[in-house]
Amino acid sequence: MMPSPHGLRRLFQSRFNLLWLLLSMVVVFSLTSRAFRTPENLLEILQSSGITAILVLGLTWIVAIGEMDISFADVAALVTMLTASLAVKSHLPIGLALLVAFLGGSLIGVINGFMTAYMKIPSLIGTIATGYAAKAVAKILGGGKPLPIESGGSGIVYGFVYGEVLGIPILFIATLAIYFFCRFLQDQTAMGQHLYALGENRQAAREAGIKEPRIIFYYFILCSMLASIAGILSTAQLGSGVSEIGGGTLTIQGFTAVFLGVMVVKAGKPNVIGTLIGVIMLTVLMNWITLLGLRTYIVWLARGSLLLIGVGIVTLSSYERKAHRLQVR
Amino acid sequence: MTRKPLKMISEDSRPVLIFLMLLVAIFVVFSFLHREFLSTRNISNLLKHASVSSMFALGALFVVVVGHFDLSFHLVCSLSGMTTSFLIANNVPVLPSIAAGLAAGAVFGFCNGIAIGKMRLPDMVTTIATGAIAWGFAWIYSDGSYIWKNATTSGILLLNDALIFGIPLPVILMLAMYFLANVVLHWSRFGRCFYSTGENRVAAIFSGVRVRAYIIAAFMICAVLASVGAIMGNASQGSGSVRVGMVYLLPAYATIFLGSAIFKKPTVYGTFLAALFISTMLNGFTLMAVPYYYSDFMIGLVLIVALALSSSMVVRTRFGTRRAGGGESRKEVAQ
Repeated sequence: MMPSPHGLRRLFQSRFNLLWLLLSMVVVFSLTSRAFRTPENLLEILQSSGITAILVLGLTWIVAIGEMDISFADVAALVTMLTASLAVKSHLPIGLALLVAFLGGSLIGVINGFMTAYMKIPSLIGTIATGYAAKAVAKILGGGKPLPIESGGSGIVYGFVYGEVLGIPILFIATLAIYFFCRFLQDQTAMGQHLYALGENRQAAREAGIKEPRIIFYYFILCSMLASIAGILSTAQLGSGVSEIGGGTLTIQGFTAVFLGVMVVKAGKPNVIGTLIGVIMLTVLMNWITLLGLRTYIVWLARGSLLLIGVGIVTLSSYERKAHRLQVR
Repeated sequence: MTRKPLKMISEDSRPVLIFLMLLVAIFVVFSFLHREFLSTRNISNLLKHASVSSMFALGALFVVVVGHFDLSFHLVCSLSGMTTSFLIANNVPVLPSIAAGLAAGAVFGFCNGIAIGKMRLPDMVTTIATGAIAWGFAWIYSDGSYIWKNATTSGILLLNDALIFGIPLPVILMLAMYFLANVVLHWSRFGRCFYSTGENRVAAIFSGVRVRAYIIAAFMICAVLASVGAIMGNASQGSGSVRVGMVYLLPAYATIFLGSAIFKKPTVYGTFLAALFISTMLNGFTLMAVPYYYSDFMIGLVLIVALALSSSMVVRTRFGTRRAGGGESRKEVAQ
């Protein structure tokens, strides 16, 4: 093991490369684009990355454990639609509607977790199925159309999404707080240890007495709960229930963020701080592309290539590490 | 005692019987519910729809057989479809245009195969990424709008409308492709190599199977067959659309897993019967004017039920080994 460098040199380790890339991106974009450096735009970036960050927080851990969840974006969409239809069609008070919607979204997580942990269905296919069903239910609730909701009712959530403290969106501060709390859970508690133990070697973790199915079950529920919270926040942001948030791009965006994040902090492993940096980086990049007025295909090419580069670097570097370990032995 | 009659039927043919009975049952139910259901026109429509959607399922079947997943074929095929439509709009003859479209699909399939079989990137995330790239390329031709120029005059529509001995061309194409795939997967040594690659990669390597080549081949077959499906789909719509394949991702996997739930492993004939089953169901719903999102829900449900049925036998053995087999890959790399 190399002695870890101290002081300022610590910040220039390779595991913080992505952070420097993000900072230089922000600096370069601000210098070159007048529209990018306006305070409104920077606030907009922080606000929209806040919702995405909460959405993919659970996904980070699912990927770390070695599973997949494709349904998270559809869960969020289902929650927006449930909230809208309960509040508008059934005239429930908004608080109750939000609660029921949250439980509905979490139910998908229960199904996902049960299928993966106890029935041993491959999580990818299982969550494709539940995601598809969730999206279909969302469409059935809205009759295939978005369902507008009067923003007056959801005052608290609305205030949470658009409110600012000292010029910084409350949403972003809350996201930061949640992320640092989760970082604490991940790095300082047994919960995080179990998580990475399961991700590293399922068999060994099981034999060491980690209750594998139950932990996986809980993580799937957690993932859907966080996606549901993101769904509630985007209900307030969009002012309506939709059956597809962001035109179906959220799934790929989420995975890109997680796999970009794998390159930071804990090199080679999905981790929450990395995901946060990944989300902000993606939002900055997409915001810049939109401001330049580039055509749609460039956005898709950028998304796909970024994800591919992230996955490639992670996989190839982890092979090097494993090969190295074997040689040492 | 009551089980005795069933035992007289051989183990292998029992699933076929169950499936056929299900199919007949669903036919009977729908023909009671809607008078038009058994009309020649509707049956021909049903089979045309089945021939497009089963093309996607057949391609993905190869990837499932080698133990991987492809989440890009529904986007890669839109690139192929748009390439073909774009070339036809620019007065290129039909056959070269189709060939160019299929080639575009094959290139992406090859890249997927190299990335997953040779570089050993994780299949799902890699294919999500390549799918996004392919979709980006598909938007270049027309910035996402439909291409219908020359569609009626070039003869591409014959791919959907032509009748050979009274049978629609797409149906013949479907039967031919399924027959070919059946020969390759079940009656040749190539098929055994595909299956052994999926079942136990390391054992396959030591048995002299060129595992990487088979994985690359599977991804290429998947992309090319999806491209065939997309071009057929465009022909039936009369225009090239970037969204042509979007709706086929989940039905394809639902079909494969429904087939493997009953035949205990992913097979060509199981996929064929399951494709007919799902298409019949969708056709019935459409006839009864049920909104499309209800049938989306039904397909999701069918997939979940199929997974639940098959989880005990098929999926666990096939995909469980891969997960546990992570250890071997390291050794392989270290060598």
